Amino acid sequence: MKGLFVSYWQGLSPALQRYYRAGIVPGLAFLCLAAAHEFVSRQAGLAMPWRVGFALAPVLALGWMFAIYLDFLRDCDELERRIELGALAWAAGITLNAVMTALLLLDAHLVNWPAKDVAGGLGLILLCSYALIRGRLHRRYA
Amino acid sequence: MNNRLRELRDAKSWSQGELAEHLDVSRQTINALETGKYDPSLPLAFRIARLFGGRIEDIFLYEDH
Repeated sequence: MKGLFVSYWQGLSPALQRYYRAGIVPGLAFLCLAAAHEFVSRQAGLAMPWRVGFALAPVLALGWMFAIYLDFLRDCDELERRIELGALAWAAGITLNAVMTALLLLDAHLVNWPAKDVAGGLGLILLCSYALIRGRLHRRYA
Repeated sequence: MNNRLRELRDAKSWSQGELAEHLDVSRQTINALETGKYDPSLPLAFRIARLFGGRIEDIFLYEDH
């Protein structure tokens, strides 16, 4: 298992290695703030500013992760950048279609999905489509 | 577009990884260039030509269909 990880790690480009290393701290921060959001933001006894702060805190870590991703886009070579931009474009297109589909179905009162489920589902579609297209493009150029 | 990258790399006895280090690109990029799956940008084509001491048109062979 460790050998598999080492061979996977060595197969990554230097820019991707730097990106994954740089993403560890903001990733952990996101997990901690998401846990804090889960347990603290719903405490009725807590002052409202603290509740709002803890409710939105994971967004800060997400912004940090996005900044590191933008650094990676500047750092990587041209083929990696082509793969990333291709995956981002496909994921954005697929998610936009899903947004329109959900919006039209909700507007026509054909479905009655809770807003939280819709937002979560759209986020999942964005991440999954990005990961699948990125993997496919990497295989194309492998 | 065809290219002579593999031939030139073999002449220097470099691995794909070593050539990638010289050009500051990933090994995947070198493999994609050699197999014709990817055509380089003009700056990268110039860097490759300079590394091997030739001209772009000596390394990258454009076929007009």
